[in-house]
Order: sequence, then structure tokens, then C-alpha cells
Amino acid sequence: MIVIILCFLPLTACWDYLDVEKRSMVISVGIDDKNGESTIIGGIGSVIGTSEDKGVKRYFFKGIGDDFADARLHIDSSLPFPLFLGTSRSIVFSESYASKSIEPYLNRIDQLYDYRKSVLLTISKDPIEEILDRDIEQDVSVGFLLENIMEQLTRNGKALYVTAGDALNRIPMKYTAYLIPYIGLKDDIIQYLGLCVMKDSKLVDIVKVEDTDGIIYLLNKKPRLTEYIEHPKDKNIRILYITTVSGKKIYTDLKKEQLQINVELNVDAELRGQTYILPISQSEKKLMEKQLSSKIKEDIQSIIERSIKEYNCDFFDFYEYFRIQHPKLYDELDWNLVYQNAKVDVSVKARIINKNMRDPNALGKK
Amino acid sequence: MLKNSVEKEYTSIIDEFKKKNTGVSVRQLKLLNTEVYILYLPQLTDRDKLSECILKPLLQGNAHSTPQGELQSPTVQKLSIEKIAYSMIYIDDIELSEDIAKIQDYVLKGKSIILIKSSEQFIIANTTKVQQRSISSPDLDQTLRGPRDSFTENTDTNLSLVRYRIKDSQLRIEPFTVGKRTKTSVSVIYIEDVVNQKYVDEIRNRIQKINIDGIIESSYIQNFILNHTFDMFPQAGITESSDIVAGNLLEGKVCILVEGSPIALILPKVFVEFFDSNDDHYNNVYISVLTKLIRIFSFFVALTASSLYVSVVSFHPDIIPAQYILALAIARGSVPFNALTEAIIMELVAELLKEASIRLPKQIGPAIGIVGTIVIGQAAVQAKLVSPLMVIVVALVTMSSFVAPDYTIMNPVRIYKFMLLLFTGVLGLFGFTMGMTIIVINLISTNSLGTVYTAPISPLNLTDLRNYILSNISLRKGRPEFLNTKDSTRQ
Amino acid sequence: MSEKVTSKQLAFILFGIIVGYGTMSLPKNTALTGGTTGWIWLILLAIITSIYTYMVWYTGIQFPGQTLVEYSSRLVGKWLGAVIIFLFILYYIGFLISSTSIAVEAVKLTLLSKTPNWFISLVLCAVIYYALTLKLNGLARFSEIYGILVIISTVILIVLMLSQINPLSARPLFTTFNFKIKSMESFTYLVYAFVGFEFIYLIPLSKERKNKTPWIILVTIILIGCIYALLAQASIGILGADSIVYYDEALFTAVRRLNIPLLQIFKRLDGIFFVTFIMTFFTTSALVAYGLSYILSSLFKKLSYKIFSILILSMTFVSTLFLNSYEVIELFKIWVNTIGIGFCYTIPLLLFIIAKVKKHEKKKT
Repeated sequence: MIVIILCFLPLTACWDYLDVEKRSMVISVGIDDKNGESTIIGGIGSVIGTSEDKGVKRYFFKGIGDDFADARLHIDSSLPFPLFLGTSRSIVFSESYASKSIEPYLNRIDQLYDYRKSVLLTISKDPIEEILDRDIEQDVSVGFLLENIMEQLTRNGKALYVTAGDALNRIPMKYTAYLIPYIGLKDDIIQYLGLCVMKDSKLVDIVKVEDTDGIIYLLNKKPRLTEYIEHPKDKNIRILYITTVSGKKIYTDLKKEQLQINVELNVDAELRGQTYILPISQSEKKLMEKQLSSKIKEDIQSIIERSIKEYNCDFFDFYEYFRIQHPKLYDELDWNLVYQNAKVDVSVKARIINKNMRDPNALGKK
Repeated sequence: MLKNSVEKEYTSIIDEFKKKNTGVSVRQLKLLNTEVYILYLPQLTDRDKLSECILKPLLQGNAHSTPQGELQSPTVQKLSIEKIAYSMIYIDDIELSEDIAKIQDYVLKGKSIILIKSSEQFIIANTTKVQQRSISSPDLDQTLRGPRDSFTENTDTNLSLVRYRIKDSQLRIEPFTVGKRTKTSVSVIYIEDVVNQKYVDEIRNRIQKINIDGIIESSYIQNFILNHTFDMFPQAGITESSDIVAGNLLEGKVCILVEGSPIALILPKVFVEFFDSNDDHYNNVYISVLTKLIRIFSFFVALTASSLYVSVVSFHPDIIPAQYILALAIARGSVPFNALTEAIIMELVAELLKEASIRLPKQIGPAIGIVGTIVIGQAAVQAKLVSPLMVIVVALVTMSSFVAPDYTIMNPVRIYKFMLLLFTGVLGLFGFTMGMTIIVINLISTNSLGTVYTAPISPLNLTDLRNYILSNISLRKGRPEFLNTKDSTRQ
Repeated sequence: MSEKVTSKQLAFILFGIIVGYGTMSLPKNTALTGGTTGWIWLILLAIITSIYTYMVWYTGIQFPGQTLVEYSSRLVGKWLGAVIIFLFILYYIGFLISSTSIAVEAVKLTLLSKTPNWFISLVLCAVIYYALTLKLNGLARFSEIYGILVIISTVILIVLMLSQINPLSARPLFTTFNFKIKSMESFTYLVYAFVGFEFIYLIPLSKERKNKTPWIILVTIILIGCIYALLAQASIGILGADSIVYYDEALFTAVRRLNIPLLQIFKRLDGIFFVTFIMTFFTTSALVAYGLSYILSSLFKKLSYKIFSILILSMTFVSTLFLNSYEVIELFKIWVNTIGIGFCYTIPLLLFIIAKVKKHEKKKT
């Protein structure tokens, strides 16, 4: 036994042994397509032994080649340490590349073992160099910044966090449709700008952040959005509500080649603020509930109809519901055809619950 | 004829004592025309007792008889050894013997021999007194709640402490003498109607097999009772305090006390019991569960922390989140060694510090601590020789290694952690798992007096496991099942 | 010391030898067999397996304190007994080699891409040899400890995976329409995942707790079925039934997809998962290697158990050197499992019937 253990001694630090500081840790990767050539651009956080300032030294790499393997070779020949993809947090595609299909790179992610499939996907409005090679105050690197922005937005119910794994899961399906967050510079700050509609991994259109409410209501796990309603008595008074979904039911049905999608949504709204204080009576509350319902219904209805008419792209995963509800029909179906003529019926029930500390009705009570 | 030969033998023994530097004193008295010899070893003899209880009555008896003895006749007043034994001396513990060959042994054990050349019999009087320290509080088993008395080097004192706690007629103290030259007395203690006889027989067997010139410490016995010399894990518990011994005897275990050693052995002891402190039984249930779990956890920390560090840093950084990897990389930025070398060096340094501080006198002990903390904790990090995280890991490992109540269980850890480091250094997480497997196999192949070492986890016994974890005496209805005791109920 | 193998240990041995071999590709094959409803097949298989295990146990209990090697000739006659033992040996050789080479390959693919095969295999075989020195009772205790650890970490893993699944992809759980085997090939793979219960033939059983033991065994196998079903369903929920079929090591892929921010430093689970996985395949290989050296050493009494275990492991080591591409292993695996299925699902039935008949005859006379 002791002999065997001693045999280990000369073998230490062979083969797979590689210390962390000897790896070039990729934090963000950008994919672009310039003049028909694939380009991988990325930010690396790495440590160089001689650097005086403690901390991660950030630098930037760029590889251009006919395909990704070529570009990677280009990158490797410029790095002091081998590339380590296990740390990568976000992948940024350029708009031009995304419109041609991001599938090749997704498959590459799938095949590279050390790539984490939980890496965030984004599409950038601006040139990738400009986004990735920025000195930002908030965070170590753009990769982390993007991840953190999207994570906090999603957790607070305002956006969608889409990972490479999510996209990869959909590629083998019959109908590949998903959304990817859209980011870009606005007022010289990196921001979340909306959602990109991907059909067959190709960029179809971009839904601006103002129009994403309907999507968020349906797709975020815990949507938490803000809605403004005017006070029935005084149109100058705007009342701010925070809405959360308390129940969601989606029914699909196919009758005579006509797809019927019913979306039932129960929304709880919390009063959060009033520009001017004015009591709200029970009847006014009812009225506002109706207003709120119709407003949310409008949001959802319009975006679903847009997805049907404009894109014919079912990024709401209605087909999944259909598959669960009608597994037999689903196998014989061409969803693209059916979805084109789908009829959508959205019903929203909003309920105002006052969880505010203030009581605007103090004097109005009878 | 016969008397002559006895006389000759006595004379030769006495002459031998006088001639050679044996240190044996021979006191010669002449009483009623009879020569009485007293042989004793001054170093081991209570000399007050000797003069008060033997010499004084003998000489007084002589003085009294002379004036009264008008009818002095040797036949009437003849002094016999029986008379001395039964009506003159005051010693409580005497014995008459004819075995002349053993005189030397008795004298060397500190007994006084009284003999008359004309008699075949001689008196063995117990006047033994050994210089001993008084009962102090234990160093080994520090406790918050438990009693403070600890064993000393004297077996009688130790036995008295055990007796005092268990006043049971079934308590057995089986004496053995081990060591050709040291003639150390070894006592095996158990409760007859509780203990599993298998253990007592086994211990008796193994002690009788010992053939050595001397036993200095109870660890000698421990080593002889081990199954194999190269077994890693301790198979006997050691303790200094009598309450632990009493508790274990009640559980149905066997305890061995060795003369000249303040440390008692407890057998059999299984792996998990090494993490059981007597405080656990005195404390509140919640606290004892918490502390026990902390102790077991600390065992694994001490064993694995540095190798896990190596496996993460050098092999699989991607099993921890990206932010942490970057933090690790920053910390290791300018360290000249690779992680494995760093870990091995730091572990060795920690072992060195530990070793240095154990042997040092109390006055300069703290100095080592200061040197250790400043040199290793701060200077090494500032000089960028090691990464701060490594220092934390090593500090954690060292701290954890002091948590176990019975320090002997941490000895294998000190060896195994280096083995694990090597395995991990070559094969990463796979090597780590293989190393752990080797340790587990080793653990399984160990047994303590034939009791499975991994009980009660394997063979799984939920009652025992529950009793062990809760360690509250009011919940413990029976004795551990893995001991197979004769009487299995306690309440 | 020859103590008895307790009934709990019997259960853990079963767990140790069954779990490990087929877990990696289990979700994929479940999805191929029945999509999201494939888990039903796993439960069904578990029930069938438990019946078979009972048969094996029943046959064994007719000859308390003996193993198949000792009682086969008494049960079915000298020739047939020899044939059965021969098949057993053949099957176990294949089982050992394939499980070890799969393990080596999996370690290489996922953990240590640059380390040469021979070294991983050497270390593995050496440690297995060390485990074999424990003999049956030690191995029983070993699988007990590892079984407990594996069950704990698997349960944690399942809970964490289930918390992260996409509830849409894992459904529907029941459909009458989907209840048919879509791909026979992958179904046989599912059967392989339950192979290993015949190890009970090699354990001298005792009549003690005779009434309780079958239940413990039954529960164990059903539990394995449930764990399999949950793992498969959780992986399908993470990867989606359509995409999971492209991953051979679907379970591992699914685990690597997880990223649970709540767990802070442990938010990536592959470390825990990998240690667990190595434990399971180690237990499987060690038990099979024990079985093989036990049979051989009791057949050929000239050579000792120790020598046989060295021989067997050197053979395993050498064969892992040749079987070093995944495709070859797969082919080998299919071959082995064909024998395995033949062995596991016909011979126990045969022996069971014979044992039953013999017992009946005894009662008559």
C-alpha cells in the first residue's frame, strides 16, 4: 500500500493538473460575423504573476477565422495560458450574426465540454467590441454585469433569463422558437432593451421592453410588473399598482383545423402609490379592477396575436401545453400551419389587494 | 536435616542481598535468643509503618517478656514465626509463605519479609508505599460538567476511584502481572453480569500472551492488544477520568488499568464512539447533538479540506461558481508554488507547529504560537509565498484536528490527509474519491476485539444510532446492541 | 470471523450492485422508450425485478449457508449445474470488464481528459483489489456505508433537480395513448439497469428473519425503481424529452445544466454528483469482482481467493486497455448484457421452479 502511494509522488502535477491562476478564464464571449468571417471576441479575467495591483487583470481577445475552430486557434495563439471556458457567464451575439442563425455556435457550446450550459445568452444592439471592452464601474467584467442585470430583473419579474441550455433544449424540437434578451448601449450605459424573437434560431424581430409585459406575464415564473391606472374620479391622479400573477391556466384545443388557445390569468394588484391622495371607494375599486384587467388583457392579447400574425413563431410554448393536453394529436400535427390560424382568447381577472401601509380611504369610510 | 537446608538457603539469600548492590536492607533483631531478620527495600517501603508496626511491637514484646520471665526457659518462651505473625506485629496485610524462591520478588515489590532461620515459613508484610502524586484534575479529558478527579500512576488509587463509583458486587477486578523485569500489575475491570464474556476472554488471552521484559505505560498493553501492528485506527479508548471508565463499564465494556500509568484503556471502542465526550451525556440533548455533529464534521474537515482545495484549484475549478474561481485565482496570483506543493508544505508546517508546541514547557509555549501566527499567518501571505485561502484551510484543518475528545482518533487523519493530498494531486476528484474509498475500506477492515469498527452505521442499527446521536441517558433504554452484552437493559 | 450478512446488508448489496451500471444513460433510454411517460416502464421493471429477486432469494434459502456454487449440483444435477456456473462466470467476466471500462471511460470523458486510460484503470483496479480483501462481510459493510451515502446524496440531487425542472417538459406523466414501447432497443437498456440481483446466489443466506427479508428486498428494488424514475423524470424535465435523446450521459448533462443561485458556493452540483457516481460504479465493480473470484476460488480449490482476485483484476486492467473507445465499449456492453438478460431472466426462473418442485416432493415424501 505504502509503495503504491509513494508511486504517486512523481506523478503529481501531471496530466490534468493545472492551477487556476494558470488558466485564462473567459467571462464573456461575443460572437460576430464580419465580412462573412466568424469572429469570437471575448473578455478574459486572468491573473498574471507579475501584476502589481491585486485583482483580476482583464484583457480582451479576438479571433477571426472562417469558422469557429479557426477563430479559436487564432485566439489560442495569442494567450499566455490555456483558455478555460468554465467561468464564462454570458454570451453576446451580434444582431447581424443572430439574424443568420445562432445554431452553429449553440451546437459548439453543446460540444465543448467545459462550457457551462447555464451561460446567459444575449443579443447586442451595438458592436460587440464596444460592449465587451468597456471599463465598467459596477462589476469586474461585462460578462458578470450582464448576468447580474438579467438575473435581478428576472428575479424581480421583469425580464427573462435565457440560458444556452434553454435554447439547446428547443433545437431538436419540431418547432424551435424562443426568446433571447436584447441588450445595448443607451445613454452610454449597458442596458436591457427588450427581447429578441428567435425562430429556428434566427432572429426575427425585437420586442421592445415596453411591449414585453404580455410575454412576462406568461413566461416569467413570478412576474411582478407595474401598471398605472387613472383614478376614475380624477384623471390627473395616477395610481401605481404592482401586479403579480396568482393563477395561470392555458388551454389549447383543436377543432376543425382551427387552433383555439385560451389563456386564463388571475392577477393580484397591490397599490403602491398615488400621485395625489384621493379616497377610493368600493365601486371605484371594482371599476379600476376592470380597467386593470382589460389593460393586461390587451397587453397579452396583442403580443400573442403579434406572434401569430407577424412572426408565426410560438415562443410562448403553447405547443408544449398542446402536447400535454393532446399528446395524440400533437404527433400528427404541423404546428406552424396550425399556429398561423390560431384563435386566442385571453381572460384576465385582476383583483386589487391593498397591502400598502397607507389607508387612502381613512376619511371616505362610512 | 531439613531445618539445616532451610537455614542455609536463608543465609545465602541474606548474604546475596548484602553483597550485591540490590538496595535491599536487612535488619537483624535478636529476640529471646532467636535471630529475626527483616528484609525490605527502603525506597518502596513505608518506613514509619515498618518501625511502628513491626519493629516496635517486636522489640516491646521482647522487653516485656524479659522482666516477667522469671521462669526463663527457652522451651517456654520460644519465639515462633506464627507467634510473630498472629500476636505481635500490627500490620493489617500479612501472609505466611514457604516459597523461599519468591522472597526476592516480594522484596522487590516493596513488601517486607520477616523470617526466622529456624522456620520454613516466613511473613510477607505489606508495607509498600510509593511516592505518588495526589489526584488532580484531568489533562486529557477536560470537561465542563463532569467530575474533576483523574487517575494517577497508582493502581490502588485508580481502583479506589472506580470502586467508589460502582458499588456493585458484580464488579470484577482481574489482576495480571506483565513484564519479566518490571512485573507491572495490570487490572482488567468489568461488571460480571453485564459484560460480554467474549471480550474478557479475548483480553485475558491477549494479555497472557504478552512476553516482554517491561511495561512502562498502558500504551504497551494497547499495542499488544491491537490486531495488527500496522492498523491505523485506534482500537482502544484512552481516558484519565474515572467517570468515563464507570460509564463505559456500565455500558458493558472492559477497562484495563496499568500500574504506573494514569491512563486507562477502554475496550472495545468503535469508530463513532471516539467522537463521544462525557459532556454529551451530561448536557442538554440539543447541545450534545450539535456538538457531536460538529465533532464528526470536523473529523472530515481535518481529513479532506486541503485535498478538496487542491482538487478545486488545480483540477476542476468549474465545480464552483465563476465568481469564486476568480477570487481563488486572485488569491493565488503570485504564489510561486503550485497548489499541491503549497498544500503539502503548509500541512507539514502546521504539523511541525503542533509537534513543537506539545513538548514545550508551558512558559515558552505561547512564543511558538506567536511565531506560528505571525510567520505563517501573516508574513508568508505578505511575502506571497502562500495564498491566504491556503492559510485559512490549514488553520481550519488544525483547529478541526483538536476537536475530538479522544485525540487518538485524529492520528490516522494526520497520515491519511497526506495520502489523500497525493491521490488528489494526481487524479483530482477521482483520486480523492479513490483515496476516501481506501480509507473507508481500512476503517471497515478494522475491528476492536472482534467488534465491527463501523457499528452502528454498518451493520446498520437504528436504535444504537439514535442512542448514539442523542446521547441522552434518559432516552437510552438499553446497552449498545453491537456489544452483545449479557444484560441488555439499563432502565 | 464469519458473521452473517444481515437482511439490511442484503438490501444494500443489492442497491450497490444494481445502481451504477446503467444510471448514466438511463434518462435517455427512458425518454426513448416512452417519452415523458417512460418512468412507468421503470416502475414496472422494478416490480418484475423484485419478483425475480424474490425467486433468487427463495432458491437460496432452501440451502441455508450455501451458495449457488455449492448447491447447484444438488439442485439441477452435475452437468446442468456446471453449465449454469459456467454461464455465470462468463457473464460476470463481461459484467466486470464492461462496468470497469465504462467507469474509466466516463471518468476520462468528464473529469480527467488528459490522464491516460491505463493509469485511471490501474488505480481503479488496485483499489478494487484492496476492497476485495474485505471478503463478503466486509464488502457488505462497505456497500452499506456507501449505499447510505449514495442514497443521501441522490435524494438531495433529485430534490434539487426537481426544483429546477421546466414543468412543461416533464409532462404529461400519464397518457393511455403513449403507453407502448417506442424503441425496443432502449427498452432493453432499461432492463440492463436492473441487472445485478443475481448476486444473491453468491451470498450464504440464513434462515433468521426469514419472513422479513423478502420484504426488505422487495422494498429495496422498488426504491431503486423509484429513484431511477425520479432521476429520469428530473433529467427529462431539465433537458426536454426531445433533446435528451441526443445525450448518452444524459444524467450528467442534466446535472451540469443546473445552476442554483440559492446554494451559493454549491450552486454547481457536478462535484457532489461525480463523487456519488464514482462511489456507485466502484461498489458495482467491487461486488462483481468479488463474486467472480469467489466462484473461481471455490471451484478450483488449489488456488486461493487472493490469487484469483489478483488474476481477475489484472485481466480487467488489461482488457480496459483494449476497450478504450466508447463504441467498442458499447458493443461489448450489448454483448454482455445479452448474456446478462438471458442469464438473469431465465435461469432464476428455472432454478426457482426446480427448487419449488423439489420442496413439494419433499413434503410429499
